[in-house]
Amino acid sequence: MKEITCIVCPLGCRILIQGDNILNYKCKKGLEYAKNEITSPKRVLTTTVKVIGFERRRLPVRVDREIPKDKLFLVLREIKKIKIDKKVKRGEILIYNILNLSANVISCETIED
Amino acid sequence: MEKVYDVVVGGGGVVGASIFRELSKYEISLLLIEKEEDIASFGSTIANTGIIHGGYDLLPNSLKAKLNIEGKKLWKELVKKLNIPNEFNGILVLGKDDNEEKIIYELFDRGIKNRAEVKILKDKEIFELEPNLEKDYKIALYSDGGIIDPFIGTLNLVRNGYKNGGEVLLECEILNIKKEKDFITLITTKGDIKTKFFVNALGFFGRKFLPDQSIIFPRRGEYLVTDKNLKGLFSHPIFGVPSEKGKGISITPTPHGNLLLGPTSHITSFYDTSSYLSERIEILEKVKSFIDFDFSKYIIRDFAGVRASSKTKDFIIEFEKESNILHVQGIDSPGLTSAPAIGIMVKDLINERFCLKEKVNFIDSLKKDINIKDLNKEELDSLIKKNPSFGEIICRCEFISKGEILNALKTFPYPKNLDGLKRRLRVASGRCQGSFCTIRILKIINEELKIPFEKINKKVDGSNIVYGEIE
Amino acid sequence: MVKLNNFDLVIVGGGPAGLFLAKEAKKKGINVLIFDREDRIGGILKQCIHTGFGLEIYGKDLTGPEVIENLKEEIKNLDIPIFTKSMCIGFEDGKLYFYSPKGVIETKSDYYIFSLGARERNRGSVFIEGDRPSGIFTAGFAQYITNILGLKIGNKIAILGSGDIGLIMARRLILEGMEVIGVFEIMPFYGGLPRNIRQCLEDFDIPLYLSHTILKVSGDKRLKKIFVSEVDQNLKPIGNLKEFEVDTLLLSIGLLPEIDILKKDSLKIDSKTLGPFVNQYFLTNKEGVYVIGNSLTIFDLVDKAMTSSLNALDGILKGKRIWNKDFIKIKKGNLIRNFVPQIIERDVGFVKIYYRVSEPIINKKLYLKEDNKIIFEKKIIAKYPAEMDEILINTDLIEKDEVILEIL
Repeated sequence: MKEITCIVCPLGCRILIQGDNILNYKCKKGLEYAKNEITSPKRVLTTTVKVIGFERRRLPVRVDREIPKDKLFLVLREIKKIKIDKKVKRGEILIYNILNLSANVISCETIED
Repeated sequence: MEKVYDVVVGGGGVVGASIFRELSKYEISLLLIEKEEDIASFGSTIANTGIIHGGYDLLPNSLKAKLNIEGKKLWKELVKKLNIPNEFNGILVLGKDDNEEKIIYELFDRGIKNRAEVKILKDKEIFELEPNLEKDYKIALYSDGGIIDPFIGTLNLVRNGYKNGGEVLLECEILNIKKEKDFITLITTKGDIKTKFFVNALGFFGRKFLPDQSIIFPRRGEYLVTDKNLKGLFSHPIFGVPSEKGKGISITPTPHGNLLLGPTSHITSFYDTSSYLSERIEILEKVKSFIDFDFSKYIIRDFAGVRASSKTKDFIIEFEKESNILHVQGIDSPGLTSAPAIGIMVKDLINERFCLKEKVNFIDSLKKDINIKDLNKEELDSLIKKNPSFGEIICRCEFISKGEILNALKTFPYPKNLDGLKRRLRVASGRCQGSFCTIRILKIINEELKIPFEKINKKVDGSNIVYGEIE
Repeated sequence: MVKLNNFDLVIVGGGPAGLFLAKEAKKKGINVLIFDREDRIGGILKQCIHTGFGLEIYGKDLTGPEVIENLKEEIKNLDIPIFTKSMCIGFEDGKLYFYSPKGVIETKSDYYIFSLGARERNRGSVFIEGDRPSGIFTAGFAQYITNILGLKIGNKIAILGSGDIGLIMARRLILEGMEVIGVFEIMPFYGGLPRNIRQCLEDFDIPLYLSHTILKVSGDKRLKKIFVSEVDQNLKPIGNLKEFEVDTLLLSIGLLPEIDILKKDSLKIDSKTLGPFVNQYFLTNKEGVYVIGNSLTIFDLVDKAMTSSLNALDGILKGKRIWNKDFIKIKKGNLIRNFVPQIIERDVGFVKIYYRVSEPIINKKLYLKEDNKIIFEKKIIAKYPAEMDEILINTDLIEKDEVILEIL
């Protein structure tokens, strides 16, 4: 019997995994998460990228869906290549389908000035 | 360097600064040298309660007694002329039992002999002055005296001396002293400096230039600083009766509204400025006798420093035999109080050997710096309309504006790091200890002085806050 | 001097709670004014670039900046004047003043909301022996340095305290290429949310040392070493000191409600939350002054800080400026750390109480009792101090002046 903490939402339900049985999940996202944790754990990556030419120095960015946990640092390295030097809108896609993982890297903020 | 100064004062603490300012009244070539990057940044001056002592506890006819009384009088004028934060409310020494009562009367007698303004208070007279004191005190000595901000005091003495033509050289450490025929050569980290007279006001670091080093021994003292929320708990520095170690641990309200608890007094073998749990406990235990109050929840910071004491139990202010090196050493308590008087005494000693001519145009005051806390709302509003940076509040605990920070950055001697700004303006000295203002100050220094972030230090070189940009 | 006396409500603090309330209040026809001391609104969420926000309010797992963008979008067309770079300096003669680069601003209103957020406990709160080098920072400070300024706070980092901010920063620093040697927690249980232990520490193999604390540091310029000790059940150091070579120590040792600016006005403070005493509208004992968000009590989730602010809107819409003379006092009972509101009015129907437990609870029951009469009870299967819980209680059932909230 293994107990894991679901990280899908801040409730952090303690899900129990016994062989093939998954118990004590409170929603289907939690069930999905527990299934994935065993086979292919996924995470949401957030970071910042450099901004040039505006008062702000960094722009927070994120992947718009979960990516495999073991690809975190590879994705991060790609994101680090981004430099923002013009206006950007919240939600704007900065990298499409990063490393073919079906996730886009999007801006979390709007920079207008 | 072929220039031969008339006088070089070594040491940018309050004693060196006082001597420097005093000598700047005369037509001489004058230089102050300090080994750190800033005035009063590392020695005894900066780990000081700031009390201007009454002088009642000193041996009559000692040098300490004479200079304490004179110094106290001089400070009362200097704080006005040089805009030094101060409170001259008097000082209390408290006694609980018959033994302590005896000692209080002895101090009173000494105070009279030393010409301090002292009087005895009994029972309810004591609590009228300090209602929060434990009620088992029955007798107190009340003396004139007060408290100043020791850093601003030292800084403004230097600024005044500089304004009157004295030169200042920082980051200059004296490695060796060579006595030549007609002058003295100081071998320093910034080259050789020649001078007719050298005043050793280097504090503990001047011990090595004494003919007999063993006469000086270091003592460390730790202090606890409380939150301003306790302002008003006490309105005078309060002491218990002194012991052979000295005046003892006091509760002292600073001119800024904090309470200083301390100092401890422990002989040390090296320049030990660490904080120790045992000394913190010692302080908290001692202050319990003044008031049954849990200070530990209100301590925002602690600090410690070292003062140099002389085995002679008095100040050493004298020329070395057959030399124009004047040692000012063993300046422990009441060093700060005596400093202006030491300045005059040093001037007099030099004057016996080298005729000092008074300047006609000596400017004895400093123009007041803009401090937004001195202005009412209408005045501040007008000031902001002229200069918006005075409306941008950077330090939220102490309400210090960007304009004041910019002014401090442009005023000689310049602050070289965050601690230097802190000593001048009290940024990062409040409850949050810098977590709000430091970021904003980093930005201001980076933008205004064009210093890269990773070169901005907390204190000396190598105490950077950040390590450059993340990738 | 700019005098703004024509607004119904002055909101001090343009973070998530203040912005959310401003939006909701304006939608209900209340004329609102917002002041913020920074150059951009958004409060602490600007630097919280991780996800975990907005789940309740927007149904999505968003980053802090995204929640702020949502709020900005919502207030964009509501015509709410926002003054940035404006520092509140407190009340004087019944008026509230701000200093800003535009000048001194005077405001007078029937209602004020203070949503000033929290400040962090620092080295002064825990005594660490040794030198005072550079390199010792609070975790929130390090977060601003990393996420807003994009600067490197250190190379080899230790974290004191397993609260959420420390855990989040542990992950952040690893992702930015720095080394985190461990998180030290004095209690035998961790302080942050379980999900953060998983995704910030376990994911990156960062060791968590429970029942450990840092006793001493050394380094004359920049931090060089920390000296760690295990502690016993009374939190007293036992065993030998362990040395770690680090150049940075982040303190994640707790948040405190920021209400200092009101303290000189004889505001009644709760020693358990360290925030103000409030009734169910989040109204303080100072006339017309409401406090919401982390300024009131430290919330675990920003969504809760935002939605709970509607209590204040309710009070304002009902014209409440002072406490009712007849109120019920809630007493703190067994295993409860703190709660808000601390007092509630009588016969006002259902009222929500937000509370935290004082230690990890497994299989116990929560009670609200009036003497021996049970007003409310709830089974608690598992609850950690890091997780704030809320209960809905029926004030119509309470007859006496005092009730007790306890876990047995």
